[in-house]
Amino acid sequence: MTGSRRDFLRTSAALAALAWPLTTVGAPARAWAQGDKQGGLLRISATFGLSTLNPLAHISGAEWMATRWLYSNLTRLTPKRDVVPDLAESWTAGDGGRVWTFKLRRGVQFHVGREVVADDVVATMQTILDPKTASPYRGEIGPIDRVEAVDKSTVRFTLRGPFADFPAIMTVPVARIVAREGLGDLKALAAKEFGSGPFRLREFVPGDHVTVERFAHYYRSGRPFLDAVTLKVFPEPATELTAFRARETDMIWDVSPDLYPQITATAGANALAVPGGTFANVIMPTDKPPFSDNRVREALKYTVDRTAMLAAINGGQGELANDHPVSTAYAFHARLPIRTPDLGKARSLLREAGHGSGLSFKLFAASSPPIREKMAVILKEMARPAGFDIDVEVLAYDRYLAQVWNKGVPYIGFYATRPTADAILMKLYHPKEGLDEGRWAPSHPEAIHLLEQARETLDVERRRRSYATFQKVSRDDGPFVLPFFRNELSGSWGYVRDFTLNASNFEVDLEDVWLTADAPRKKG
Amino acid sequence: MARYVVGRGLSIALVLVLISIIVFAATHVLPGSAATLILGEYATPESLRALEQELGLDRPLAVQYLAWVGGVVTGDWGYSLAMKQPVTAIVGLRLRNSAALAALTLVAVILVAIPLGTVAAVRQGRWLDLAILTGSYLGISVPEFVSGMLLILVLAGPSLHWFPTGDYAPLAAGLRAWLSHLVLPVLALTLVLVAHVVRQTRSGLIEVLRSPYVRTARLKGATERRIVLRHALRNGLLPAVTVIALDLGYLMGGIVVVEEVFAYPGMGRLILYAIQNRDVPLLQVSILIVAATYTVANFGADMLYAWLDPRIRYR
Repeated sequence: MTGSRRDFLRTSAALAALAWPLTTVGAPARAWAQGDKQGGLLRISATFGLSTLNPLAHISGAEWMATRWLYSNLTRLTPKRDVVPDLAESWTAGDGGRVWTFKLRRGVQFHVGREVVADDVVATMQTILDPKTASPYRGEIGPIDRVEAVDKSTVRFTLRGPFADFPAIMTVPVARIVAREGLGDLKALAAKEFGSGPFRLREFVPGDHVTVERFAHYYRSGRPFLDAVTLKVFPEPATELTAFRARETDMIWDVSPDLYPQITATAGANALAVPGGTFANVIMPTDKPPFSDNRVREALKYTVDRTAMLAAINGGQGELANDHPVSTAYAFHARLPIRTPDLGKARSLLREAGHGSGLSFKLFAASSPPIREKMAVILKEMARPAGFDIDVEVLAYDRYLAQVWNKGVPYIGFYATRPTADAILMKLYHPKEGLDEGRWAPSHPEAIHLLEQARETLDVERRRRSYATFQKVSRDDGPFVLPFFRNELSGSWGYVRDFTLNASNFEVDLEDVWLTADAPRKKG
Repeated sequence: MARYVVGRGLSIALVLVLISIIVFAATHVLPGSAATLILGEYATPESLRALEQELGLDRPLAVQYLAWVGGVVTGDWGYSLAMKQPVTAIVGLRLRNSAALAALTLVAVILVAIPLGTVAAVRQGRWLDLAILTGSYLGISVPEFVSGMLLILVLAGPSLHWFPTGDYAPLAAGLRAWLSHLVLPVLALTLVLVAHVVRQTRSGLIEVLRSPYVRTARLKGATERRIVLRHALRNGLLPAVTVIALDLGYLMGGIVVVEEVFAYPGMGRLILYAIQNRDVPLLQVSILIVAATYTVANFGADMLYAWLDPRIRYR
């Protein structure tokens, strides 16, 4: 088993390495003594989120970022997208990938002052799985049937079926391991922490900022270097940018593409960009006309000038996509030629489908994040010459959630990078494990079966073949127009060293990050 | 007088009850619930049901409202649905912050606008009068989010950086840090409010300066300075007091915008947050605090009126 896992890891590392040159990292100009690296306050900004620190319930990037500092997972995802040990020192698969056994690192301390043991892992997982907890990700941590403590430092997960990516899924933000005394009062978990991460909570003002400080007994000795970290919400992006440029903040996280060029232009600042798997997509419900006819779906796909759309929406920061969600950030990305715009073909496909005189439909887009509305409006213009008459309706996010999202109407979806291709594919296409917003699964059982097969085998080559076939089917026949993946964009000052932006951009790992002596808050 | 005060007190209470009903009803007319927003695009039908049950959103509307009222009467202001913390714990800091912002703004408006209005009245029709009126109108015609942004770019940007761009510092961090964070937001709010008060002070004073008792004072040989400051200003301020009290409402609206632009954690940002997240308990308490402040301030203005002008008697 370990062999195939290594293969899988190697593949993902190799693919991520292709993306590597795009990342800007301030490289130390000389060798630095350990003592030079020690100390300082790092100030990071974001524009939204930070309502809660409860890892079982948080759903925004800023919150995920903060709990990454406070808690540990069993495993963690490196910027190269390798799955490496965190609380778990090693893991093995049994019964063809149906049973996973994790060996815990000994002597890891919770901030509450006791050792992390298998019972804490079991209690955390059971709480997430309990329907009463109403955890948003209950369905996203793998098909867990049973979890038990074999001994003090061994945890065994028995799954409902074989699941090759289970160790990678344990890296997700919901799978942070909470000390079991913290699970008694889930409400309190919103503002208190019971973690074993590199930092402990100093102050939390929900909706405004969180400050964490170095945990002296963290299991990686000598880490972290920073004394403290503050994450502050600036609701107005222009204020956020000015604060960064005035060095009131040291790192600006998740910058919008229209402000990004200003970071590139700021002397002394590093503009950080990394290809990820974040995208917006046009969801075409295939269970009823007109999108039940694949010719109509294909026609719409042919109208999109992907390069132009990426340039207009994200300043060219991203990579073109093929109407499926597997970007080059994932291990099983298949290299297929990108569909080029062809209005003539789109028109004839529409005509064949019986819409020779044109086709009108309504497309909904939530006003947040802005990429949704932009995509809808640009698509409307791009598709018009082919005979599509798209009526775009933009609505507030709350109305969108209540009346449009997953209700079987055409709308613009938005998805963040997941740890594995399986996670995003299941979420998008599988009727039970995911949403199937395109209502596509019932008419394509063989494609769904491919996904199920791929996650159930540990044979990397077989998986690669299944995923490749699926990506082709989804490109040619699938329910989404998915024109591009956007790069994750951030910025940091040159005095912030050894930070690497992750394709899962909320994985802001600060353990190795340090400040040079000229940082404004090196003295805390 | 006592009867008047009690009557006003009762009517304020009634207004607050009505507001709480309206806010409650309005949030339920809006699509979606706190549960839909907490779970976002990760919701499943089961998790939605479980969460609505946990938050008590599955109960009939009237029951939810009465439960909330019952809590308030017994001193339990409820739990924020989105932040999962007692509302009182959340509101404290924001209320202090907004109170500081509002109080400093009011002081700034009074300190700037009344002297300016007085000068304009005394110099009526001259270039100074014209300059003051034009300047104050410039302030009112630029909305806070524009003036706020401009102030940030110019005074907090990397080149000057006289003040921090946003955020706040607690008083415990020192008076200087605390004040430095307040200067720009206060300035943005003051710019908008000054015009009203300048104009009211000016016209009130001009009228008074033409009245017979001022003429008498002049004939008695009082200096112009004494006439304006001792005799005219007290009466001339009456319309300005009314406008300042009414401007409180405007100030609260401005605070929502300014706190958002300056990333300043106060009541305005909290209300916006509560609306966006359908956080009804948090919204109820926040709105009631704002409404209570407004009604009580108006009541205070009426009392001040009586003090400034002994002819006015409330019954």
